[in-house]
Amino acid sequence: MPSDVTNPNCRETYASLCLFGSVLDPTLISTILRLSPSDAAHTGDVTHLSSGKTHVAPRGRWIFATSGLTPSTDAEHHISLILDRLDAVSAQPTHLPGVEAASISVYWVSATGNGGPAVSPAVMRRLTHYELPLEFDIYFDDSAPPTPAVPG
Amino acid sequence: MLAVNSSLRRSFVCALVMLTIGVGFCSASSGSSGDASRLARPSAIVVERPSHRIVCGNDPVNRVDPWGLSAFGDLLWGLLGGEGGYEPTPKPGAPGAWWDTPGGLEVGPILSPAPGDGSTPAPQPMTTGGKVVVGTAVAITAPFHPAVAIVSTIIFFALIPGDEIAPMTPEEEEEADTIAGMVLPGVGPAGFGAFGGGTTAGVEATAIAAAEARLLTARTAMRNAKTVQQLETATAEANAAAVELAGLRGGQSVGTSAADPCLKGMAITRGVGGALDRLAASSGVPRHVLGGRFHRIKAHGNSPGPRDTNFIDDVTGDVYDSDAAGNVGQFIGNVFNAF
Repeated sequence: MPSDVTNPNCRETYASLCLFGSVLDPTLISTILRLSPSDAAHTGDVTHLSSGKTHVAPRGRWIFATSGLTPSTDAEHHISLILDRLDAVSAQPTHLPGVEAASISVYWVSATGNGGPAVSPAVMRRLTHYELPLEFDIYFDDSAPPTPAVPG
Repeated sequence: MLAVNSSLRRSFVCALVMLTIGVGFCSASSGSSGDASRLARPSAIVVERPSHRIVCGNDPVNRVDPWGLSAFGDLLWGLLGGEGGYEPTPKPGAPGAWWDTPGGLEVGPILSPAPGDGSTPAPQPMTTGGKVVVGTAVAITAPFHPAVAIVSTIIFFALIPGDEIAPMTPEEEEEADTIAGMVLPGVGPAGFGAFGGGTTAGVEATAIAAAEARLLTARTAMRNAKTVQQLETATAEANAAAVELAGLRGGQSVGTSAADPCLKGMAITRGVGGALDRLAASSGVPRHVLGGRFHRIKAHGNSPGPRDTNFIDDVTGDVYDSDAAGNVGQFIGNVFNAF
């Protein structure tokens, strides 16, 4: 699939492989998948914010996001990138040690106030193979610059 | 003869002053349990007659003259001289300012306990015992010289123990608020033209202030909401207050009143889209950047899924999880503190 696949109704999109588990070890997951996570934590890890507030991770997490890997605004392309990585290591995410929940979450921002992501049967078959739920988190940015008028 | 009389009179006055001071000290030491921080200071004096109510001394709200000294003489002269024995001070808010309204019969000062924590004390009326003490001092010393009466009464004010101070009744608080708001019943615009109170503009300003207070109270309730029901109730109240405020402002939409910081926020809300809009507008951070951070932060909680509910504070940018019941859960991040 070409990396310049775009969706004119999408301003920004990326997909994330999200793994959660109370005893999840992010280092072990990274070793098995041969990937560095975009975000990871053990259960109980404390994050201190500049505001002075703190957050304690309620469960372990390991998240790999495709943001920055491609400028494509086609959600399916981002999903495919993750599936390609899993194919490369022949790993079943739901069977990884410590993983209690796994999914692919797609961040999708509309550029026109309509439209949406689309997933082909081929990609759905691959998702089924890995037993990965596909989740969409969709945003509508009213402050986005208007789309140029179509001539004619 | 004249010299003897003057000497005797001076001695008698001195004795009265000393007696006054002594009684004052005794009153302070016996009634306050030794807690000097609770000694009261006069913040204003109220004289009420069938046709007048006079607040003399400082403005109970602005507290421009904590001792009310500049108007003290006028007040005492009014006390001693009866009806018409005083001159109105035309500018409330200035030292010694006072106002008169149709009122009751009570005569007495409003005292404020000196707070030990630095907070602003609320005006409180003196008890009947305190009024008797002050009235006695005035009655004893006034025949000799008004200045003696002033000095001795001031001493009594300074030494009256805080234990004798009674809290204001709701009616008195409302009356004080009315005075503070310069919306005085029965007073025409002419008497207050210099400062706007009593005019149509003054009434509108007070109504707007009340609506703003209602809005802020509702938003505080939204921020403190522990359940969705509380949040929705507070949100409805806030929206109603916002509509009222917009009407008072001549139809100006509160939603576009970005210049007014109290109108920008709706506190913690499930309306993430609108909240991100407001946060982007107020911060200058592109909306899609904040949206991307919000999306990532959701993964830090227990409810990152598309069917889960998350909350955001559209003033601070704090993001909250939802609990098992769908209510506001734990803090999980902030869209301005990407981590």
